Parts: sequence; structure tokens; C-alpha cells
Amino acid sequence: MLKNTTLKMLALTVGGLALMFAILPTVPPQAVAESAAAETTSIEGNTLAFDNLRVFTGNGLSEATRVVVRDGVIDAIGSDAPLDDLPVIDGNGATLLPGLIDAHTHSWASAQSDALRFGVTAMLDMFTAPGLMQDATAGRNDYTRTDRAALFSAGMLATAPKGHGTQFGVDVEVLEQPEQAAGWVARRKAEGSDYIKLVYIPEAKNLNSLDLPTAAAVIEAAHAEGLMAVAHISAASAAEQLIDAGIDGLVHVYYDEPANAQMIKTAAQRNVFVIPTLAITSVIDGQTPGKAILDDTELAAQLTGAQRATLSQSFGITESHGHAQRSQQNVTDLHAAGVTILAGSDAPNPSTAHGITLHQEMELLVQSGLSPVEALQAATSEPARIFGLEGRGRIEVGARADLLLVDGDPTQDIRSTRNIVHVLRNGYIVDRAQAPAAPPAGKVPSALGAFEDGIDAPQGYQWTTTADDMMGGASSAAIEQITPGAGGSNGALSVRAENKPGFPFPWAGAYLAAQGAGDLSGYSQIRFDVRGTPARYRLMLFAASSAGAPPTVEFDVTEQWQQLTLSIDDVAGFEAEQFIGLAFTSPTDAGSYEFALDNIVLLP
Amino acid sequence: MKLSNILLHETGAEMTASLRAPEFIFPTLALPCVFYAIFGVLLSRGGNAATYLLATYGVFAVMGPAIFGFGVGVATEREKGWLSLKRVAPAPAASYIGAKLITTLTFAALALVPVYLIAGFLGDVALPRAQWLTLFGTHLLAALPFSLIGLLLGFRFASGAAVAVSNIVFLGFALLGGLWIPISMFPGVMQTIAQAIPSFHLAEISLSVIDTNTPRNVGLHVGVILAMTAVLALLAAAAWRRQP
Repeated sequence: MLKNTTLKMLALTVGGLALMFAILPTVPPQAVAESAAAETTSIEGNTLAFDNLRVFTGNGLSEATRVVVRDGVIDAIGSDAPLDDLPVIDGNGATLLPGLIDAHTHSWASAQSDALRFGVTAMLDMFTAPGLMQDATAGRNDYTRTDRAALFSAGMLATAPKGHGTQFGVDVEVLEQPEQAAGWVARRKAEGSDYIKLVYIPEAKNLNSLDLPTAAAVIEAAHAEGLMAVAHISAASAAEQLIDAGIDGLVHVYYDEPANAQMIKTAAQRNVFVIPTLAITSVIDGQTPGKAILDDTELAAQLTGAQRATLSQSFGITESHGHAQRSQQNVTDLHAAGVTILAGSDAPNPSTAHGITLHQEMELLVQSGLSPVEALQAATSEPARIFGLEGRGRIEVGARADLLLVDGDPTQDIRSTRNIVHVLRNGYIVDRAQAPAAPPAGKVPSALGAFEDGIDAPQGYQWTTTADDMMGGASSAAIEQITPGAGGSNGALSVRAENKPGFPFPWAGAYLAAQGAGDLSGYSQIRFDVRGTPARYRLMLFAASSAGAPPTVEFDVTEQWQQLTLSIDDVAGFEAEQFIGLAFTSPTDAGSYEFALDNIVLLP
Repeated sequence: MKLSNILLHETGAEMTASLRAPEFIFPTLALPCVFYAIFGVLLSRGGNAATYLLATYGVFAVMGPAIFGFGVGVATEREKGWLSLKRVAPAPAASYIGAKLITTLTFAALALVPVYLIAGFLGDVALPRAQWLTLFGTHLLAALPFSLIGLLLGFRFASGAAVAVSNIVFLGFALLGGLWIPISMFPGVMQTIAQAIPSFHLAEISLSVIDTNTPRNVGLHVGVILAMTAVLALLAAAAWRRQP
């Protein structure tokens, strides 16, 4: 009898275990990233094959397990396509996707290479300076080796005097009445804009907006020129008016209230698409999506200084007004009604970064009710279809070999798009490696300039000028020693700054340049004497890792000498250990500024 | 009677005894899955925390039946003179230990079931089937060194003390071995201490099953565990012979 107890217990246990293992959720064996990478680092050309993987075509998973690329073009897809003697990347169960398309970015500096390293092979810019656009979009249809994502751009945006878009310092040609629309759009087309973006925020309290007749005229003029018109909106009422006026797409989702069902129906009927940019909406609602990325050690190791800098910034908003939740609900409603949703990051706005934020946006879309497959479509085939990007966003024979290989199955778990094994651009494997971190730097000396016998600077440092002309802007600056200085001292540093529009964040002023990187982390304050044209000036801090807008501390200057002490502790986005310089610069507003600096000292 | 027959009878007796005292067996089965549900799933900060903690809480789950089943059980039976009786009975010592071991492994397996089910269905843990099975095998084998530790405690302490000491060993191993909180979150000194604790090495072996990307010296951990198990087995054999 006891013997039977044993046998029964063991049989029950074994049977129960067998049942448990039969029902536990399973995934296919993971591809081993290291081995795949090691095998393929030697592939130099843009003719190669992928084998033994899942293929997401841009539409859905394919039966195929093999993709052949010749001269940067997809040549064959199948399970028995001949491999001949092509170099082969063994996917080992990984998933091959079309390169991602970010449908809402603002591009300058390293944007395109930062995006590409995270699998974004094409990006749709929604406002940048026309001059920058022309450089950045050049060569996008070539099949040559490149470290940049392909860029399509709206160029300049249509906005009102002192409207949204004018605050960044780009020399914006503003619109005031409908009659200007046709000429305005024609000039954009001549500059190379791929589509027209307008700003329509009549409900905004502190920014002007186009009026509805002018916005409608811009839409009409764009259509007359054969261009699509897309709009920045925040309010459901504004969205409704533009949909009635024939807008092609909205580049944000409205977040003030749920839209009425009729409007959603109209949007669906007229094929209006929406790029919700949920990540940035969460940032203006006080959330910090960038922090989640910085806290993920695996992802953080793949970021450049520029990406770390923008991810750690914020709008200074800490409380929620429900924008994030409402915008997600609005996406849910729009999606349910059949409105096309596209994934866009709005990088490099605060708490976002080129490339990685698009992966987060796809996850937010899934949280808002899209299936993982639909979220992937929103970042691949759908933007390609809507914006007419031929040969992109799909894995099909004849398509450009802009590809993303990830571990896992993103059609099941959208987060697995972040497990990047390889990015291919025009069939070439993109070098995703980061430059090694700079060696530890020496401490920055405390006294930075007394200007007694000339423009003196500490050993290894030099005072010079800085202006946005080095980045394609039009501002300029000049410095000289003047006498006497503050408090009857021998001399001071005089700065003349000419601030002209032409760059997203114009600057001109005096720059203390380090010959190598220095460690500024031991200091918490900077003290200096200053007088000049009364205005709010800026102290900018530069680190070796930074790019894009440098971290900035503002201070007010009067006609009289005064001593100021600014805190440089905890400046968001500034890596103090890699300090390479600081600048005292003019306000962003255009104009001429003259100011003088003396006795500049760093304090612990 | 053949040895296998004796063993089956002994095991049946052992199991029946355990099932008749559910107040002892229930907590060891419930505690790991409740802990795992709270820390691995409910309070999880996303990412693959649920998977990571499944590896370590699985070790935790088998520790209970092993340490308590052997430690307290042997201490009580020794005190009551049952062990002396066993030694003069015409059944080999191996059947006594073997029966206890089979019972322990069975209850260890049963303790793992709810943890695995919570992981799979509440924690969204999905693994290739081979990994589920390997992980389970690793967890089950982890019961062996703990059983030997339990056996030693049972020989060394009186039944009342055995309960207290077993609890200290059980909780100490769980915490210091990094079963509740990843070892990497501990200060350096505690990470060094962990090297001397079997639960740490077993957790690392389990983690190596589910996480192939982090470099781990699996061979070293397996070697340390085999050495520890061998030493414990020798000590247990010596303790058995030394019995009054």
C-alpha cells in the first residue's frame, strides 16, 4: 500500500510537470548575438545573404527564411534562394525588418548617423533650416556606402509672425494672409521641400498662429504644386478645422480632449494620417521617457554624447495635465476608426534622441492599441506608402537593402526591436561601434581670466570667439581687451556679438577653448564681473560628448558692472568630466550686443 | 525484500507522513511562489526582471523542502529514537536516506510548479522549451546540496534548535546568495561573502541557463558546487557513523 502511494505520487508529479511544460509559454531559441556578429564583421561589400531568420516584410511575417542582397538591392526572398558563394549572415532565429522610418524628426548635426545606428534608415524631417536641409538630403537616392539615414524634409515651416517655429532662430519666412500662400509654397518647392508643414494652433495663448484662411490657402497651394501638406496641431478643434480644409496629415495627435466621432470618421474617409509623437507628448506632460533609456545600461552603452544630452533634458515640466493619457486614448480611437497611424519621435526634443526614441514610440503605439505588427508597419511600410518613399519600408525584391536585424520576434514583443544585431544601409553593414571613452582629464584651473595684460587664459586654454556660423548659421563675434576693467582693474574682455537668424539656436560670443578635455566636476559655481547691452545673456557649457544645443545657464546684464555667481551644478545634459570649453554669448534674439567680462573664476 | 521495494515502501511512508502534517509542508511550498509573485512580477520594474528572478527564486523554492525536510525531519526522528531503531532494523541505511531524498525532490518539484506557472502566465516569461526544461533540471538538482546541509543540521541539533538553525540557514542563504535581490546590487564585501555560499553558485548556474548574453564562469560555479556537495556528503556520512 505504501509502495502504491509512492508510485501514485511520482506518477502525479511527473504527469503534472509534463502538463506544465506543455502549457508554459515558449519562444523560439534566441539568436546568439555574439556569434552572428563575429561571423559577419568581415563582410565588407553590399552583396550578401541572410539565412535562417524570420522576415518581417513591412506588412507581416513571411514564410521566407532567407534574403539575398546584391549591390545594395534585395535580389531574392525565399527559403531555398540559391546562396551561391555569397557571404552569409546566419540569423540564428533573429528577425530581419525593413530599416525603420522615423516620420517626425528635426535634423541637424549628427542626427542622421545617430538615427542610423539604431536602425532608422530614413527620416522625415518636419522643420529645419533650408540650407541645412539641402546638405542633409543630398545623395539620399544613391546606393553608396554612407553613415547617414536618408532624409526627407519639409524644410521651412509655414507659421505666423512670432508663431511656433520662430523661437528657434531659424530665419523663417512668416505668413500673414492667404494671398501669400502660393508664392510661399513655390519658394519652398524650389528650395527642395518634399512636403509642406504648417503650424495651426489658434488656441495657443503665448504663440501666434496662422489663421484658418491662411492655413487653408497653404494647403491648397501645396496641393496645386503637387506636394502634401501636414500640420502641427495640439487641439482637437484645430485638427477638425484642418481636416475640413483638406490637410493630408497631422504630425502630432491632439491631446486637449477626445475628438468627436464625426471628425474621426471624416479623417478615416479622407485618408488623413496621424503621426502621434506620443513620446514627446508624455514629456510635455511631465514624464521622462529619456531617463528610461539612460537607465538601461545595455542601451545607454550604445548612445552618443549628443543622444545622452538630449535624453537627459526636459521642458522643466513636472506635473501631469493628463496630456499623455488623452493622447494615447485619441490614438486608440483614431486607430479603431481606421485612421493611418505613423511612428515619429520628434527627436531631438528634450527627453528624446534620434534613433532610440522611435523604438520607444512603437512601444507607446502598442500600449495605445496597435498590435506589434501594426506598430512595425507604422514605422516601415506605412510611412513609405504615404510619403511615396520608393524602395523603402519593405523587404521585397527590388527594394533598397536598408535593413534591421534584431534578436527575438518583434511581431510578438515590440521591445525586441531594441536588440539590434545589425543595421544595413544600401546593403552595407553599418558600423555601430562607439568611439572609446576619452581618457580621464585633468582638473580645470579655477581662474579663467582676469584680462589684466591682454586676453589671458590659463595654461592649455585660449579665449576666442564663437558663433553659429561654424554650424552653418550667420552670426559673428569679435573680442578684444579693453581698459579699465571692473572695479578699477587694469583690463577686461570686450565682446561684440552680431546675432543673425539662420540656425536653430543662434549664438555669438566669447569662447574659452580647452586644448583637450578637462574635468570641471569639482566646481559648482562660476563667478564673474559683467556689464553690457542690457539683455538676458547665456553661459554655454561644452563637453566632448555633446552635440546639438549645448547646456545653457542664463543671466541678466546691465549697463553697470556687477558681479554674478551662477550655479553650474547639475546642468542637464552636461558631462562635466569631459569639459572642452564654455562660452558667454548673446541672447537668441537677432541684434547687436556689446558686453564686457572680467575676473572669471570657478568656485567649488 | 529487494532494495528497490524497500525504498518504495519507505518513500511511501515518508510521503504519507509529510502529507499528514500539511502545516509543515504548506509554507515551504507557498512561500517561494508568494515571494516571487510579489517581487518578481508585481513589483517588477519591467525589462526581464521576471525572467532573471525566476532563475534565482527557483533556487529559493527548492531550498525550503530540502533544508527543512531533512533538517527538522532527521532531528525529530533522531530524538525520538526512530533513527536508532532504523539502524538495527533489517533495512539498509540507504533506503532511509533515499526515501527522504525522493520525497524532498518530489516536494521541491511541487514547490517549483507554482513559481513557473506564475512566471509563465503572470510574469510574461517565455523561454524556448529546452530552456524551461534545463532550468527545471538545474533547480531540482540544486536541492541535493541543500538536502545534505539539512541532513547535517538534523544530526547536529536537537529538534527545537534544528527548526531555528534551519530557518537562519534558509533565510541567510536566500539573502546572501542573491536569491531575492540580484547580487550585483550588494556592496563589494557581501559579494565576496556570497562566493562561499552554495545558493550563490546555484543562482549563477541557473542564470546562465536563461541569460546567455552575460559572460559567466559557469564551469567555475559548477566546480565549486560539486566540491561543496562532495565535502557535505563526506561530512554527512561521518555524522551518520558517529551517531550514538
